[in-house]
Amino acid sequence: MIAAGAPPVPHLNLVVFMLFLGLCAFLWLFTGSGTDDAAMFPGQDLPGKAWHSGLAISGDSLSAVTLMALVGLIALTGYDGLMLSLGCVTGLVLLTLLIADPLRRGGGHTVGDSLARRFPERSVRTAVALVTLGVCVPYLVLQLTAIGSLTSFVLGFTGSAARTACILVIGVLMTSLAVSGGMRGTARVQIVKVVVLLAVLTVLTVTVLNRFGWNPDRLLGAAAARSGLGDLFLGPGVQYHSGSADVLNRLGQFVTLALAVCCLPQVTMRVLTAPRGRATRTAMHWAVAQLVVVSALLVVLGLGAAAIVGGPALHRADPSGSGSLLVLADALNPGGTLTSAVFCVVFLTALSTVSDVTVAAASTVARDLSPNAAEPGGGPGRRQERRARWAAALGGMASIALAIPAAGWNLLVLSTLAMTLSASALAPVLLYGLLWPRFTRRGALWCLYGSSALVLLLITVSPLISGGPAAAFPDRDFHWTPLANPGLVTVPVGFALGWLGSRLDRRGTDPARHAELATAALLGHRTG
Amino acid sequence: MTAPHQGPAGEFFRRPPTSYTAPAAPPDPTHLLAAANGLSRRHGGRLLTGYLLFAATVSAAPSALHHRITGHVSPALVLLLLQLALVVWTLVGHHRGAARLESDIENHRTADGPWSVS
Repeated sequence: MIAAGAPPVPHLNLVVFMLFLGLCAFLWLFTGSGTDDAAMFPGQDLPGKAWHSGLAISGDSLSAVTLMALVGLIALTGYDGLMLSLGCVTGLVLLTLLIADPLRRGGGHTVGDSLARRFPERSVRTAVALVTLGVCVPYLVLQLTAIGSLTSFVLGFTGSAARTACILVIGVLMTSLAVSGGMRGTARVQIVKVVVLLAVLTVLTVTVLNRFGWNPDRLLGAAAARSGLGDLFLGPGVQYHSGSADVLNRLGQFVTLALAVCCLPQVTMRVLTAPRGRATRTAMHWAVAQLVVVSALLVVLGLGAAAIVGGPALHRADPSGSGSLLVLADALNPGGTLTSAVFCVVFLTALSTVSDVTVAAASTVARDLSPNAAEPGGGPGRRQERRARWAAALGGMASIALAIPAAGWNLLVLSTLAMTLSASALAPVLLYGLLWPRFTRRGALWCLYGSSALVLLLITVSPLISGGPAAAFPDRDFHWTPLANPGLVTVPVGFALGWLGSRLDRRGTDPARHAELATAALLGHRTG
Repeated sequence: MTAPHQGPAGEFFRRPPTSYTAPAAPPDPTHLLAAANGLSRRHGGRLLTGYLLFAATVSAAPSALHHRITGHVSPALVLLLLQLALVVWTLVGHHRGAARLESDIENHRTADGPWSVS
């Protein structure tokens, strides 16, 4: 949370924010899907160009919390933040290389739908849906809590009642966008967000580089000198030190981040909306290129924050570093509109992320968890569409109800839970399911349920929950593992369970059937 | 013997023999599938292996990577740039391989009758 030391300009911010909310209302009207029967589901019938899909995919892979946290981590820790930025890019490239083409070829309206072509049993589809919800709910709560707290701070509101009101209003706005806009509407918001984000970040970056005579080495030197870390800023080991637990935590963080980004439900859902064949690759290349550009801009801004504001001042303003982007904007243009512009961009990023995750969760509930789950190849009917909209509304309300008490928690718990579940359960099932012919139903179930249970267990007994002043329960101590990032254990276990379950499955699988399905997806269907 | 619908026998010899290419047999669909999976695995494997090696190196020996080599560039920054180069290399390799595969798939579709991508 941002401390009261940061310098907001409430009146100006309030005026700019109100204007921006007017723009959001226009977007809301513009993106309404009306009575479209398939608006809440990704599908091949959604029109759009490859680069539209690419921008939407990259927008989904960069949430508001990631945006703020990356700049803060680069400013406060230097190289460790750079590595996390590289982890996000690597995740999206892995998606491009390993998952995007076969997933899109397989078709379907959700990931569960896509896997159901190979595993038609209800059990696999239900398990995928439950794990998807296990990723989406903490992710939604995290984003809502963070943007609610940030909004109340920027607008100059103090006290928990104001923060609660902000979370409530913003949550309702974002949920209504998800319900009314569906897949198509949220895609348009993502594209607008990416364009606005690039514009504002470019202005900030040009201002920073201009201050240092367009000399990157000078910027790097000033950042290292003013960070308070000296040469430590130029290498790893600030966030986690060099003890054995630190090594395991750092390695776990990198492994988890890359695999989690490539399997986040909102990202894979967006891949399903991409045009087929060569256009899928074009869309993914647009997505990677855009993420690389945004990451490069964030790196310059993180270094600029350390060089201009200084590490100790940033730490005083916000110990987690998440407010560094706003503090930098205020330092570059004191009392000007730059801070308001940055805040509006962060708000728009949160708006698009929350509505996209809500749509991903709702389509999963309506398509994969409903009592009469749809046939893998069948289209979503009017009834399923209505069910998805209700699921989005109820899911949004539930997330708001959870986000209000979560405002006082350690938000790292939520992000660790969502990312570790994604990397340990969804990644093995997607990779095996799309690329390994001998993967069986038992392997999928062992992997999904086994690794999810292990993630929950290891996070419960980790220092994130108890045993330290930053833990969720600082007064209790029942932690027995030093791993704050359990990914180094849970990711290999997830892959091992998938492999072992498939090997021990007496019913086995039919590789010829898999080859037939995959070949049909690769080549298309004969029409003559 | 020349059938009535055929042209004069001499027309088969007007084209220089070097310019003639026999129609290639359509690629086997199972080979195409194996090629598609191999393409993903090869490039994904390269990237993942590089990333894991990089993560293991900077996690295991952070203190060895701080000192400056030139200007403010440290060995850790050089490793980061190498990893970025690996990202670009795998993407370019995957793009080229996928373009070749796409053309093989088109050949197969053309040679084996009408197909539709649904």
